[in-house]
Amino acid sequence: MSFTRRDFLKASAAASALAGLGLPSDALAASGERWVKSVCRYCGTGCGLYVGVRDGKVFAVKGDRDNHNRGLLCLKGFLLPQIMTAPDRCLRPLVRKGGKLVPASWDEAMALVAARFKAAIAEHGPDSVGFYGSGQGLTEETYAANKLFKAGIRTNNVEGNPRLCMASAVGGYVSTYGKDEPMGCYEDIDHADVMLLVGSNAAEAHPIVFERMARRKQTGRDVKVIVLDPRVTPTSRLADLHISFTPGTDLAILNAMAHVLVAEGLVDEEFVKAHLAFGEGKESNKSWADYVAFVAGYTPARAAEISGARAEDIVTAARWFGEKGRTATSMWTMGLNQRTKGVWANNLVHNLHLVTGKIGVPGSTPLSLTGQPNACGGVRDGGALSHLLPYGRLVANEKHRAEMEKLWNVPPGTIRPENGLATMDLFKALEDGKLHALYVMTTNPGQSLPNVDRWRKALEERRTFLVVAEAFHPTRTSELADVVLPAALWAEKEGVYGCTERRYQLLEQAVKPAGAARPDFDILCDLARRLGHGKLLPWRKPADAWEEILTLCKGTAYDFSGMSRAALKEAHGLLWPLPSPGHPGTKRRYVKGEDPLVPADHPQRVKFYGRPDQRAVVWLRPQQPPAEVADAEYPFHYTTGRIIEHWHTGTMTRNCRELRDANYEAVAELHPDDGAKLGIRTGDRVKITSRRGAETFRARLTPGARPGLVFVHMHDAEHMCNRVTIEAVDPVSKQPEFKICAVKVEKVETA
Amino acid sequence: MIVAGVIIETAPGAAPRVAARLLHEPGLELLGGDGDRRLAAMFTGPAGGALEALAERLVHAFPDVIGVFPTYVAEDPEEAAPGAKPARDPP
Repeated sequence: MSFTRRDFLKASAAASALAGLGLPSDALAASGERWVKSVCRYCGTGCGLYVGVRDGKVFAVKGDRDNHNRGLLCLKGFLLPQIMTAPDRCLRPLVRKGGKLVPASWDEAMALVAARFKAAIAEHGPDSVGFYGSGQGLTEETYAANKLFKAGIRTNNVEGNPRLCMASAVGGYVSTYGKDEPMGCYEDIDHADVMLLVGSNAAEAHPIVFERMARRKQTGRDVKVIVLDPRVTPTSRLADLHISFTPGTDLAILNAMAHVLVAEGLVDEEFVKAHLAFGEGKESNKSWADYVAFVAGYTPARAAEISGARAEDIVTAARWFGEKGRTATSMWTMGLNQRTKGVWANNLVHNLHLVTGKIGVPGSTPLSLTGQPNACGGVRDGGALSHLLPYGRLVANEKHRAEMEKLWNVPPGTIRPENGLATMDLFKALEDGKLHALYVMTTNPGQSLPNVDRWRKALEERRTFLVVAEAFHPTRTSELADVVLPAALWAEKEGVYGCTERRYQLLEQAVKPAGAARPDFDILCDLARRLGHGKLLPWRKPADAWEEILTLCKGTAYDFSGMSRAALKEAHGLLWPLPSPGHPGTKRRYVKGEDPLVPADHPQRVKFYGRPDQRAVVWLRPQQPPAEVADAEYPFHYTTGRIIEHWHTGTMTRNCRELRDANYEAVAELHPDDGAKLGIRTGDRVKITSRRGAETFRARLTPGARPGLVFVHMHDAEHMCNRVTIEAVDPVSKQPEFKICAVKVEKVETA
Repeated sequence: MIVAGVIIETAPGAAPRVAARLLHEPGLELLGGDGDRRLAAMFTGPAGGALEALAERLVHAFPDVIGVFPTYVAEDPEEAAPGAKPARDPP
């Protein structure tokens, strides 16, 4: 009996689908093939998978049934094998000569990088250089860069894409609980009676989390789903209540929900007394009475007037959320974070949980969904932003600096006491000619920064020596580089990713790097040696750095010091705190009986140990408008976001045939009424202009759009949505307001 | 040619009804179900968006279909299906 490759693939597909149902199958094991445990390369959900390797190449992936995703993956994840052999993989170093990027040896490229960094530091000081990384880098890679720049070069100019993505969520967690990262987990979805989604199109941005929500909605008893989003999105299909509102007015809605909770006696008074403090501005100097007086001003009627939502819907949402005896989980993403009031908006979601006591029990938690696969583990937890040090420590805190200097075995005073430049300030310094060398790793700011042409113009002036370590070339950033370093991609290297729910997972190396590509970890260790800091990065392999990382988290609120490499290899993800070998990990943080950092004899069910007073703070945050609102000259609001087929700047997904064929070109979605007013039909090309720039897109009229709002896909390298967006930032998180600006729309071409 | 395993999630109790209507869906072979809200199926089709198109078609054509979730996707490079769309040049 002959058995073709097609037969094998079919059998594998059948086995996998049946396994997804928990049914047995006649699974086949072909000789010469092996499956390597790993994690999806895309969003922050952190889906476990196995990489299929044959003849030294990745030929397929299958979901990990033993991980939280139960074997399910979204289509992007399944098509990961295609990115490994994409035609635009960067396979050798490139150095700019005579205005063109030309092939070079590794030694030539690295020698040039080291020389230019040394020269900049010698001539202009350490703050004349910087690092711009990503939540896509592995933890060990980001750690290596953070240590090299902060303890070796002695600049805190270490930033990354998470500043554009999760900084306001961090600000929300830190200001409310004292420490970053959610206290809940995906399993809370399985117990939630109410799910509140704010500024999250999970159906497209986090499809596997959405599948879990759908499962809960279908199987739970009277489960309610509330979606707060100006647009009707695929996520709204699951909603019992969708509240649309004028962009930037959701703070009024959230305060009005709190108003209803207080007015209708839906608060948990004992929890309030035992666990909460109240604050305004930066100080927790207010009282429960002050808070009650504050929310009294946000009647549903007033919030409706501000937001354009219906008052009765706000009341319904609050009643569902607050109903005694029922659990509530909230989830949010960029709709809240990418705002000039992003931290405040995050605070207000936490407030709903805190005043009702709906936190720290199965099914009740505020759970921010993360955009990148390792924004949590590598950058947030690892402290790889300009104001952070590893595992909850701050640059501005003398004690924290001293701790890190001791742990890093560098002289006291090595770590500079001033925060480095946050992302937008870093690029302003570049524009001003103050940043003389920048190392960009695994990200694409030449496309992803707001008001992107401003920074592209600055980069094109070539006053800053730009190094781009990247798996693909050209990208809209690598095309501007002075040196492009070919980086190994995903299954070609080894390291740890930490996803939304504090779940850390090991990605094992499955295949050798393509061409001359090297893991970023190796490249950074090489650079450290060439800069004279080899002793700081002495490791031979990522596992060596992991051993060091375990010593840094020990004794902190992030303690995962029991998470050995072997434990990670064995497990299908481990959730911290995990402070000792053999500990099973922690589903719910701050909760007695679950979190090992809460004493077993603690008299209450939760202990918010992140703050000195061990109380979470309910913040009084008023509604305030976004930095730019629609007006007579620019009458539309403009917002951007993901679609299910693509991810971020498209460097990976636009390399997959099936995904390219689906929504390859970004479109601008408009409400049909707006289309009629402007004479625009689906397929017409429209020009969208803001005070900063303009871009053209194909129009798509859809009744799910909100009148007066234009939504544009964010993944298109040729039609860049960020030519239009605004670089105004949240004053606390320094995260830009990608989600709202004012534009005008005009038809430029009929379909 | 693309070969995929998929789970089709339906509204509670709708899986048998959806299964009956999918019997003649081109390229889709039903493998089993839980009798309530989940179906396992294998899909074969031309590369170039076929699986994506299937998912979109099912979700929009069948109100009871909540989502289509791949559990496995592989490509058989040895034989391109007739009518397979050529891939566009990468950006």
